[in-house]
Amino acid sequence: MMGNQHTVPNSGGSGGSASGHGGSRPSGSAPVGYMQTHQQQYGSSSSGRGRASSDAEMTDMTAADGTPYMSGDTPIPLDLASISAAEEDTVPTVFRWEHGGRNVYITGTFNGWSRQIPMHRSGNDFTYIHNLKRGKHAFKFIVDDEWRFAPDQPTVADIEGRINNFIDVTEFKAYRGDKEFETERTAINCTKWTSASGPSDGGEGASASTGKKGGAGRVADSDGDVFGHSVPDLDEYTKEPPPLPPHLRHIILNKPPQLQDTAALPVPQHVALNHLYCTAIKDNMMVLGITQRYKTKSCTTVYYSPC
Amino acid sequence: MSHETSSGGLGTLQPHNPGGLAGSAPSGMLGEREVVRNTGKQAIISFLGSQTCYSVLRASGKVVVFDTRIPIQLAFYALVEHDMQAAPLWDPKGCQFVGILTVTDFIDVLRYYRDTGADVLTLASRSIADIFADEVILNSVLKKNPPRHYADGESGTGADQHSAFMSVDADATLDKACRLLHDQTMDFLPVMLPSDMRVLATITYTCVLEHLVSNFREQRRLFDDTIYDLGIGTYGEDVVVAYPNQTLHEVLHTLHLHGLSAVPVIDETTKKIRGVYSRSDITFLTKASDAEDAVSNLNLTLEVLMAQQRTDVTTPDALHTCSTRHTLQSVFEYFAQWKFNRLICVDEEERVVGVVSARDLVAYFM
Repeated sequence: MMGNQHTVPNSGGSGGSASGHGGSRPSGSAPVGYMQTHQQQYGSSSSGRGRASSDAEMTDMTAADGTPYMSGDTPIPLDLASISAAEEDTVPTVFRWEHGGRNVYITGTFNGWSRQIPMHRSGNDFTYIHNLKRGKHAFKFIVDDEWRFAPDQPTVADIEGRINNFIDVTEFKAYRGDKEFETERTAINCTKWTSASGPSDGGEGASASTGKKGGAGRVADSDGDVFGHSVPDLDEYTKEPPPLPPHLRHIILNKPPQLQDTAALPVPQHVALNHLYCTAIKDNMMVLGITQRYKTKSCTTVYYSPC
Repeated sequence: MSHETSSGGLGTLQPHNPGGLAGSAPSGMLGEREVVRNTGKQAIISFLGSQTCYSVLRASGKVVVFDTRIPIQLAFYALVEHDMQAAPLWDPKGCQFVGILTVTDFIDVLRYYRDTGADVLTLASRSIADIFADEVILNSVLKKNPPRHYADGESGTGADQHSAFMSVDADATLDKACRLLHDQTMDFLPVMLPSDMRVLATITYTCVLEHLVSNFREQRRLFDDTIYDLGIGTYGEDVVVAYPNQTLHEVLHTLHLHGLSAVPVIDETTKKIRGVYSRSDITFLTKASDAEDAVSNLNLTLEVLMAQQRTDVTTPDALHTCSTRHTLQSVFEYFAQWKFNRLICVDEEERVVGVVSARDLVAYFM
């Protein structure tokens, strides 16, 4: 499989080239700009409206507004640069595998299928971040030595009929704060209905199998939310929630009090700030705790509330 | 935590005053001493004016806040569990802080139940808001005696303590905070985040004094006068005392009448100091099995109660004594070590001659 060649319909020409930007970001950093998207330009051929890819992207952006990593689809960041500047322009992209396995690797056109890159485990999921060149990329996962594609992500068949996942980062725009985002969103929402069959890559709805979630006939409502008929993947709602980050287990309110000064607490780690803690409900009363910072000092408020 | 009578007693100095006050010392020696004394005082006054309340906040502190809808009894248990003396009260309907609940408030409510013979078991279902809206309870036990200079005319001042929420911004000066504590005769002053509804801490005279002492304890020469000469504290006949055979109820009533936070307990025959009883002492409550038991514990004598007091830890309300010969400097040193709420001033025979509270010490610099 290593020599696997891929044909990506309507490829922007960068499909096979290895990326020059190999450095992956630490998976814990969760950049705000990363958005969930559904690649709809290659969506189902039954997509009645035949929307332009920009439309599809917009839907995704709005649906994913501010809630990175929520859906199962491939998250893609939005990038500042315009399409014309695509040559040296890369898009940091999060690849995700959410279908179990012990050791998961990824490879694809972004490195010329030359190397199987280990993915980072987070709970039961695996992620990997790569700076993709603008354009379309095919990729596939190697899960415990078995080649697999993610059924919840867009797929494409190569000439030999093998199915790979693919992603298109040709036209991503970066998230530039709420205000600009809102203006942009309004603008695109306005044009969406008037130019629904407007400029396109010419490829949408034409080829490739569809991802499970790229379901048929999805229509965005005025907020850009999408409703569909697809049944969620079993994995999506039966898997364990991600474990509590270990540093949040140090709850300063649970530390033994200091005899001399009972209102004094240990100085909290900054990661513990602005987290809400609560006790089990007892005597019809719930106790909430939150630590906040004021200048260089911390204040932990313990609130007793009826429930 | 203060000995309120002393605030009025600041100017009422003792007849035999060895050091002498300003103007009464013609000699050059005393004149120089006067200058040093004033220099020290001015240094602290300007310090209080330059420091903000933020500076007395802990690096990491805890504030317990009660929703006014929770039962007052559970709120009290929560205070005990956190070993806190006071908690701001939050009214979720009005979306604002409406007051402060202290341990002594709860004791006062129990006193009311004892006085009226009402069924104390009904207390379990009464919320904080319910109790504080009860005019009868408010006016009989919760309403603090107005300070002497408010006694005429403004009789509503004491009751306002529970209806109006007094606080200072964290960037207000300590001087302002002290004046507020003093003028409103409050024991606890909430420090708020500027322009936000967040209490960062509740500060007391002891907090302010702690900050003062940590900054000034090295400057020996400035504070070489005795506290007695400086007129800090309450002395002589103004000192209210209690006896071991008095019941807790009697003593609490005395404290309430005089607006005191604590009283020295002396032996009836020898007049020697036996201990100090603070109105925030909750030993009798923690020993009680239920509210009914707690109310009946009000009939215990101080003798019995003081035998039950914790000795494994020293609280700020424990007995600390000094003599009239102690200098302000030595009191600062002692405070730095023990963080007392008050010193009982005794003579060679261990008889009480005065009381010096943290409030008195701070009030000297206002």
